[in-house]
Amino acid sequence: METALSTRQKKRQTAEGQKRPWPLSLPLRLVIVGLVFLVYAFSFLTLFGRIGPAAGALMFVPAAVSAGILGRVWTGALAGVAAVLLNITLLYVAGADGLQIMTTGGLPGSILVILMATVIGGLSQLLTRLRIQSRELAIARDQALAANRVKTEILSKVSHDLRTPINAILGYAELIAGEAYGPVTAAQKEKLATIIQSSQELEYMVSDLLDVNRLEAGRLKLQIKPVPTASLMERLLVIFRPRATAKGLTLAGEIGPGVPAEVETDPQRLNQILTNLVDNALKYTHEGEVQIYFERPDPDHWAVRVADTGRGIAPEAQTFIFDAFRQADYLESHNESGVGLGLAIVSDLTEMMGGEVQLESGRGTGSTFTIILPLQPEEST
Amino acid sequence: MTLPQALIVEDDERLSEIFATAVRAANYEVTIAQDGREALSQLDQMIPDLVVLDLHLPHVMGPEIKDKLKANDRFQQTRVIIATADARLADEMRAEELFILLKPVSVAQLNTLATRLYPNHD
Repeated sequence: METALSTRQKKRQTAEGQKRPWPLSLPLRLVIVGLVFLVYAFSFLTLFGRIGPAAGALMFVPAAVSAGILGRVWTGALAGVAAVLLNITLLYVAGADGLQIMTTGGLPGSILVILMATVIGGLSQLLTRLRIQSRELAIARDQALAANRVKTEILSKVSHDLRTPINAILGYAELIAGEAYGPVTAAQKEKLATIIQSSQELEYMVSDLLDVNRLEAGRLKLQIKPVPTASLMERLLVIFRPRATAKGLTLAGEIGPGVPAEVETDPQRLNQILTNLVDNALKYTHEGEVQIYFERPDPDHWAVRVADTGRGIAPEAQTFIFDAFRQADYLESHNESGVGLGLAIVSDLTEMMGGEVQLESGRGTGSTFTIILPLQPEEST
Repeated sequence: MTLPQALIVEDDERLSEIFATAVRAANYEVTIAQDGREALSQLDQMIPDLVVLDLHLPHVMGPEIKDKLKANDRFQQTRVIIATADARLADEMRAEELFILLKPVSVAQLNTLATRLYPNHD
């Protein structure tokens, strides 16, 4: 409904733009042109008594004004011809002799006026076309902004509406597993753990969708405060070690020399970046290890490196791995799970924090993502 | 011994049950209000130590209840946990001195926070 309406509106607005490039209608413009010629004729006759046939040299004025108002190459030429003819008539009426008419209204002067009026008509036509194009661009921009607003609203609503039922699934599974409603067998607990983990994955996907949306809408603000680097590392190891162990992988964490004990950052957003990177590393690594390394590449920055021994990222995918929706297409076509927004969020959030993401990877050689962040970030963007 | 009072303001019955269980497990006595009007009426009769507040509620919205709690000296000691599915409102409130949990809120998460906010908790 929304799209159909927008398309109709677009067609109507475009048609209006093409039909009415001028604020004044054609008849009104013709009337104005007539008045211009009349004023010129009156002025000519008045001036002729004082300065003689030289008054005819002013014929470029009505020609230029009319060519500009009529706004086409051919109407410009026509206005020039009309001005020349009117001038000759006026000279004749005012009593100029043949030589005077030839001198003032002669061929070189006439050609010059006609050429000038034609050029002015052409310029006017060009300006009109530019005005139409600019109006069409403005309409297209408004439509794109409106479509983006609708998308933002829909994503916000979907995210909001999904969160309550996910909460019910997660909450009841936790309560049942915690035997709030009576004893539960070990096998049932195992399945409940799967329900809890699945609902958390679902929540991550909803959060990713929402965050992409918030980043695009510029609604996400940073809250910078000092955060102990050791607690950042500890959190990652506590969250991900059980999963790494269950997959037979080693998850190693190390804080390198020179990394401050505390860094100024938005802990929520930084944790989101790191969670996404480690989650991806574990997802795509089937043997070997995932290493998290905090380092100090230079005096003004600190960095987090997440390296895995997974299958790596194909060179063709590396060009768009941080592009939200293209990556989603790629993942779908390669039978990968997830909505593929994690790296887009990593990239956008890192950029928002004044940092940059680097990727080193090759097919079969694992991947290393490095997030380089300023030690003195800006408060918010 | 009298237990500290908690008021759960949540219009989804499933979530109010889950939240109440999590908060009860943190050793609070729990009262549930299913909408904003009921919450205000409960607040006329009690001074809770903890309020778990949803933002989108029938009759009276959560932010209005939060503002009333903040404006009234009776509730000076009351701690407020916002539990909402509305990420936009949650973002807007991030600057305030509030505990904000974005749904889904896990039982463990709410229980841990309620325990941390327990009156005279070290």
